[in-house]
Amino acid sequence: MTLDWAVLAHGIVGREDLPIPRQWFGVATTIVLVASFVGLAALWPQPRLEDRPDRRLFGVPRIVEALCGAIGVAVFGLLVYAGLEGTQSVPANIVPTSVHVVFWVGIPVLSLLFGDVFRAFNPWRAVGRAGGWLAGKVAGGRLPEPLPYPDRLGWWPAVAGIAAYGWLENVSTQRDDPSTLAILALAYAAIQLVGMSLYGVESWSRRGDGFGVYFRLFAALSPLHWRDRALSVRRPLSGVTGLRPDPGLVALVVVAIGVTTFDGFKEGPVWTDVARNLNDAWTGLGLSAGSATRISYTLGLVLVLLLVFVLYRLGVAGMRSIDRDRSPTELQRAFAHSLVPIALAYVVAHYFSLLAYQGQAMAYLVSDPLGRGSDVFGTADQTIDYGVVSANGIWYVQVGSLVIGHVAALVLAHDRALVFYRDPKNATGSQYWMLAVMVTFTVLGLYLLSAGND
Amino acid sequence: MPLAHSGHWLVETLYVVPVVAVVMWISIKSLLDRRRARAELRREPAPPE
Repeated sequence: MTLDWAVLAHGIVGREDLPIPRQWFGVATTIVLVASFVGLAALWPQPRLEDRPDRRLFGVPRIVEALCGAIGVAVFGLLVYAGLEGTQSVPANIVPTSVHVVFWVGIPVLSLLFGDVFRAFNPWRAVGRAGGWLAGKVAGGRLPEPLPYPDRLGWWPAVAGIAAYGWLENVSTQRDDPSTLAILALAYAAIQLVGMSLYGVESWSRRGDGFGVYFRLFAALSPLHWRDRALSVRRPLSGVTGLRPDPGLVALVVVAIGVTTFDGFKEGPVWTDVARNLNDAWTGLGLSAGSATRISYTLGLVLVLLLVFVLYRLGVAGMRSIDRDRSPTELQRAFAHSLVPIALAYVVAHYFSLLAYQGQAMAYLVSDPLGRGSDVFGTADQTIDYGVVSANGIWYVQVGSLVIGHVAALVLAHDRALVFYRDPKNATGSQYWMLAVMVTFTVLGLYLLSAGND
Repeated sequence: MPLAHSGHWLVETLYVVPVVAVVMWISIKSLLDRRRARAELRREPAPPE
């Protein structure tokens, strides 16, 4: 038995009457974006987000950090155990909901609200730090220095991690199997430990740990910022301007947007038709139905990633009409951070109903994580309340997140353009085509939401 | 069958309308800006020899 994530992701109940047809929301959101663009041109003449002054609020003792790491390791261990030893019934085992809902969707939202909270609880980072500390004690402080993290590696290990999860989520037929998820989690943790042992815990965690990097992207949008065991407050969005424009940065944000885009697209009628024809073609060549589906969906995922990249590249090409001195590669890396709010907007828009509905399942799953009839916290009888958010409420959250995300993207791109071109007129002129890209992403997001509901 | 779906597809194309409108607006604006820049360049007096 599997959960129908697609139904949950798009809202399980029929939408009530909206004041205007869904298609007209595209027009309304475009008007908001164009008005924001004009407003930025008139009212935002100086860069404001590149300096990142922060104000320290309070610090936390070292023991709290160690405790958070220990909690992260314990939860990770329990989930792996539940995946391997618990029931393999998807709705009854805690692992699929923990991974696909709490981890993949919940932590990005928490990161936006509270900063990079995952870093403190990151189990493989905690194990890496504890292992390093222990090895240092045993070796009497004579441990060799880790290798310098290669510049050419950049963000690519993180890209590979997120793309692999995207493939699992969108293509693999075993994406919900508790034991498969547990084994993959162990494999992922092992790769991270190898990376950390080679290049150092912090060096690797900053750019190599796919999930750590993914959550930190969204945390960079938050006004709350954790640094050196202290919480600081800073201007919202300013953190993301500090992303290092290293190799793989564009691929990272493209993958972050693309995997969610394909997840929405594959539920719609267009992909259903295309996939059917592709599958027929592959099976005609002698492939099994399972292999044919995997190849079709992998192809679809890759094509959607390419589409997202091409759209962004068109915006960069538009910038080149103002700026011939900088190479397209330099420009696309310099403005890649502006896509981060779009990636988060897509996550919220696409998965909000999943989080609102299936997230409630954690109330009974924590009491019976293995699905064997236990009732540890006395909540095993809880059920999902589908009335917690109305269908229209979901739709407005989805549209609202898309609009806010894309306006934030316009703000970030405009602010960076002011740094590059000084003159506000030139800065605005450089962003015309980026506006078109943002409008396209917004309308695409709305279409994907409605496609999944058809 | 394709005809039966045409109404559905037609409604879906409404999503493209705002994108097309913005692209047209930007194209026209870019064209006018370029013409204005060229005209200003022509009006500038030649530097003294």
